Amino acid sequence: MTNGATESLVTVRDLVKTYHSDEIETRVLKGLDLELEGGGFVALMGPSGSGKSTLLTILGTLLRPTSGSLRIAGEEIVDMPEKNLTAFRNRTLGFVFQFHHLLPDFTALENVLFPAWVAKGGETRAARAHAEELLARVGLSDRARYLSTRLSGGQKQRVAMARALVNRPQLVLADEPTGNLDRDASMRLIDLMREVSHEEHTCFLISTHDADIAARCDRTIHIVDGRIANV
Amino acid sequence: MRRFEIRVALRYLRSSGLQTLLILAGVAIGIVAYTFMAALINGLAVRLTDDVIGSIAHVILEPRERLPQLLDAPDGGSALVAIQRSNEKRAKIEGWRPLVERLERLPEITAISPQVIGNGFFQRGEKVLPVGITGVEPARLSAIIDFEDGLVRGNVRLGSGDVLIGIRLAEKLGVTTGQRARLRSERGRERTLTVRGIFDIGSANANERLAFLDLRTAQTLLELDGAVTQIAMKVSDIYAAPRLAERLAGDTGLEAKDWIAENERLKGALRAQGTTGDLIKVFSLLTILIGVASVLLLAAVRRRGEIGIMRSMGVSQGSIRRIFQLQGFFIGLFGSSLGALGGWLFCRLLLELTVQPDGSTALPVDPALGEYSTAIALATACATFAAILPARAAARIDPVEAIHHD
Repeated sequence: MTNGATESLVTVRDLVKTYHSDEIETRVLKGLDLELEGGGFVALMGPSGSGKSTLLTILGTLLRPTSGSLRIAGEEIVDMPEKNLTAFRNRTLGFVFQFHHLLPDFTALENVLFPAWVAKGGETRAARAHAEELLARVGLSDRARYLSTRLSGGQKQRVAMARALVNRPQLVLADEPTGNLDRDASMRLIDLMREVSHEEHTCFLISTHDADIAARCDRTIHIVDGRIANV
Repeated sequence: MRRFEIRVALRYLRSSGLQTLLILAGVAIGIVAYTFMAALINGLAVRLTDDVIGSIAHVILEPRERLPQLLDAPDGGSALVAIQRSNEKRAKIEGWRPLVERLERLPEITAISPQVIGNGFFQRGEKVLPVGITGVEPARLSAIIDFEDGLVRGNVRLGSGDVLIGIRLAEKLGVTTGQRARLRSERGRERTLTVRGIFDIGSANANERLAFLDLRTAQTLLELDGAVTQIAMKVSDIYAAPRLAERLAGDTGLEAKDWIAENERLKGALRAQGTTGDLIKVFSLLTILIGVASVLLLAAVRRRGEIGIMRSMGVSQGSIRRIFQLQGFFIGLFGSSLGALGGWLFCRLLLELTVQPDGSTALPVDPALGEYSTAIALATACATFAAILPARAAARIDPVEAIHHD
């Protein structure tokens, strides 16, 4: 697409993903189409096994589809060489996982800085200042030098969100980010995400089973049996 | 290499605490064994070499043996010949003074001694004992053998009619310093000599068979008429002696012998010792290689989930590989540096523990010859090499599987 002004942030066309295991073929995504706009705050809902995680993994460029096309931030992803894909992931995407997945041997601040280290090769003053600012924003300035293992579940998830934002990505993929948090912590995290999304014009795609969370999103996408039910 | 890769590698080593300490200790012990073996084998080689070359010349110039020339057999045939050596003229070096002055100017020669060598018999009462006669200039007496160090009795001031003999010869002859004995040379000339000093230079043969005389006295006894039979030299680099000998032979037209060619058995013994030492060193390095590889392989498995997360943050497979390679490198570098220090301390301790009343040591260990830099370089290279397999395994981890199963 050459018309950059009107192009969606994410364009998925006829996406198919088939897994093969012991001669058993399982088609998880069955010709899925999807468009996401920049700065959107979108919930992705669907029953277990409907293909939510597979879709997020493919959008996260960690998994290649069996067929179909995928365009993110103006770049064709499906045939992109692995090396380019790695750099693309670092500068364009952010991840928040259900189990926070912080690096246990690093402090909260270092965890937030990590994607910036990868982008620049090492630490820069600007990146450090930005990471400190993000930690302040998620209310964890006083925990910056704590090893991530010393943080509570909610604190870890907030650090994970700050980490996802440090390289100012255009798209943040959150796979059940509140799955391990209590109600209050969940809602605070989602509100924080929504605030960041609108202020930074960052698109969030949040996979969830929770209708209250979906209700806080600008748009909800339902995925059923490997296809988008309504957009 | 990117800075964050170094940071992550060092952090992983630091946070693995006990495991890192154990593998560092393993590498260090391997290097203690390596450096101790090097210090022992090299020290032994130096001691043996010193024992051998301490009392011999490194290069000797002698008159070339005169052999009759053979003519080719006619029509390309072969001829059976028996060579009759020429006995008409004695083998000696005449006009040796200018040659010695010229040789003294060569920087690689540290000491030089024109000598007269012959045989004779010491007579005292009814005792007749064979002896090797060495005539030397009194000022150059200790140029080849350190008599000052080996003197048991008397002094080393050789005058006309004086002789220095070994301790066993003195005992057999029943003489001590200041007493006299009669020496008859192979040419039949005789002279009564005063024993000026008695030496012990550590060789039973030399202590029983050698007698040192003033050069002029020896020339007279052996009828050499102002000539010498050899020019003995010590050189600064003993292992360069063969090259110097070859050069001097070409320059002077004399025959030149070097100490290495004359001591083939020593060379063989040193080579055998060196091979044994090398084998032990190789096994030390192999132990390091296997130890590092197994620890890092375990680390790659243990850190699967983290590797998956890093990959999701855009860390490339190359970076993951380098993070593990760097861990191998640092384990090798730090462990072997500790080991080198430990090896040096161990050698020093052994020296302290085995020191004898005369100041010498029972073990020929020389801490200065522990090959520490080589050990550190080889161990670091081995540990880095050992990390290749774990690094590849870590880089191949599927991030999706790792994230979902961790």
